[in-house]
Amino acid sequence: MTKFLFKRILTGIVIIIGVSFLQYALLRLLPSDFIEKQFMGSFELSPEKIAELKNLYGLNNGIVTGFALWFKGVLKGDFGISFTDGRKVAEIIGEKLPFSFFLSLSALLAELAFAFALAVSSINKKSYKSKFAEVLTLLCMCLPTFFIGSVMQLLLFSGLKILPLSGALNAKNYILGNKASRIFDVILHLLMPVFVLIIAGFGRYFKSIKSNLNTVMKERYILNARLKGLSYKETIKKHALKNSITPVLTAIGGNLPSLFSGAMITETLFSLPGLGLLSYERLMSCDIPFVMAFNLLITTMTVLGSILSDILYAVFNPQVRF
Amino acid sequence: MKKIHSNNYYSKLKKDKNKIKKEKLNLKLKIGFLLLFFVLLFVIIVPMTDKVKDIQYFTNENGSSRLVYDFPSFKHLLGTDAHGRDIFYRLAFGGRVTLAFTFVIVLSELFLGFIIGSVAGFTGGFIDRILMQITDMFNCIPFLPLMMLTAGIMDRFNPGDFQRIVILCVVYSVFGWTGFARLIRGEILNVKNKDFIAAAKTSGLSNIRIVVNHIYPVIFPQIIAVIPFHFARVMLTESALGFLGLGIRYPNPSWGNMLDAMRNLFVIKNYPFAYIPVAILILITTSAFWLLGEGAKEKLQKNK
Repeated sequence: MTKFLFKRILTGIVIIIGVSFLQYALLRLLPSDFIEKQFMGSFELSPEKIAELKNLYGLNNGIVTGFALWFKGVLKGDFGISFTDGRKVAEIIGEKLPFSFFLSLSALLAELAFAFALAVSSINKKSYKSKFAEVLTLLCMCLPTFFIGSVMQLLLFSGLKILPLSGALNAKNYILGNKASRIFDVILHLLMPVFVLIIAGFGRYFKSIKSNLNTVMKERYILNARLKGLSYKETIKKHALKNSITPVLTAIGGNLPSLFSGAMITETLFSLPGLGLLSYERLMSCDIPFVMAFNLLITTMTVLGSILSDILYAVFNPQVRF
Repeated sequence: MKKIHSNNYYSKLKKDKNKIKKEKLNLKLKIGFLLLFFVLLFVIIVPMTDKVKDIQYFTNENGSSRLVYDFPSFKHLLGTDAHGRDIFYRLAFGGRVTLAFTFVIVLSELFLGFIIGSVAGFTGGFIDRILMQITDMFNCIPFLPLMMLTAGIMDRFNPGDFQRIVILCVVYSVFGWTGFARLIRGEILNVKNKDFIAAAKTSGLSNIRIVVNHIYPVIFPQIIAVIPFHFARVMLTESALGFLGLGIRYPNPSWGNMLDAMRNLFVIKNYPFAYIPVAILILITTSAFWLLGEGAKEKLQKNK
């Protein structure tokens, strides 16, 4: 088992380095750099000064030397200084990351709970509950995320005037309010985005849980549990759910990077100060250190996620051995 | 009238053939095919009508004298959008673009995935490991940043409209073939050790012939169940890209493009015809694909 882990981690590191190099090459090969985007066509800078600036920013190195320099910095722990801000990249990401992570994590947990509840109600295929669950998943999986978000904004903000439109905090609360009112305000602001994420995302979990649950319910130990005298609810809770958890784990492992990258579309729609919107802006302006650090984060999370899902698969299913 | 000699072996076969019940399609499959048929009808036939030449659906040559966000009327069924272009015909043409885009992407992803997955699965060993590492590498590339990069590059180089769509197709399929490759490799690994493959090998068939003629028919049902879901997912991501402005750009219509009316809350509140028909069409098409996938899955489970 440890040998397997060791091999996977080694290959994971190779993958991370390879993908980072690919992305660095792509960023450097772009026709217009950061400086050109800022100062293109302005009268202030002569071409010599632009070349000087490029030297300063390190945009005149060859691709391999540039990547080697960046990688050396990463090994020491220095992720570089962002082009747009001038602040350290690690600081910027560290500020916004908890917000995105919190949003995505709460959405994930709620999605899982909802998917489980729906799957349990759709065990008996001929009941109305199961047909309702299927139609609901169909509708929710087949609409684009921003459509759901915009409609919810329309209904809840313009129509019923319950929830605030965008942002994460009211300015008044931030300055004048005490901690409790600030927390309450943040929760109120986050309700709509989380709801949108849940609606858009529970479908894939529901599908895998339902198929697994159906195969589990036909096993003999479920029949045994019922004959012992356990009620329907208790058999499901104690026996069926635990055995149908494996696809969820693999799905979580695969979705781990999205926990960290933030939901770009939802954040753009609701103007939430998270990692998604930030990375969109920075990517559009070709801010190389930030984009490289961000992509490093996501790639590491992808690799970790796949290793994690394999490990969890082995943990929950003792017959699987590497 | 054909003469059927009685009590012959072949005549009995003929009689039995007429009695064999045709396998019925699932209800889901029926609804899925029906919806898809209607959408395709709309998308193929409407642009062929004569009225198309008169209607401004593509560009707006008259400038600001055109009515913007006109409500539905007899002149413009479903009204006009933010630039004064007729929405109904934009839906039809955009449907062509979106559906063709989705179709091409899924086909190319299938193609790439099939080749790489079959080679990796059937050959095994060192080549298998290398190919799987390459697949992992391509899997780790984040999607939206890649799309933003392509949009940035295309902004700089200004290709023509058709070339832009082709580049988008290429980039998307380069990103997305990993799922199919893994699936096919897994299925081939399941089937590889069975007896009939050993029999085929000993009877001297070449590797390619074994894979194509013997393994693919066994794997085919499993993959058929996955493809429609992939269609639905590609269609939804295409609409998301269009919303963000990274996909097909106007004046080319596309269903994702037309949803950019949703960036503005004022538009959403006051002009619902600008985005609701598009959303309904996207919903219908994706649910058609989804139903096809679910129906195929159910039928395969029944046949087992």
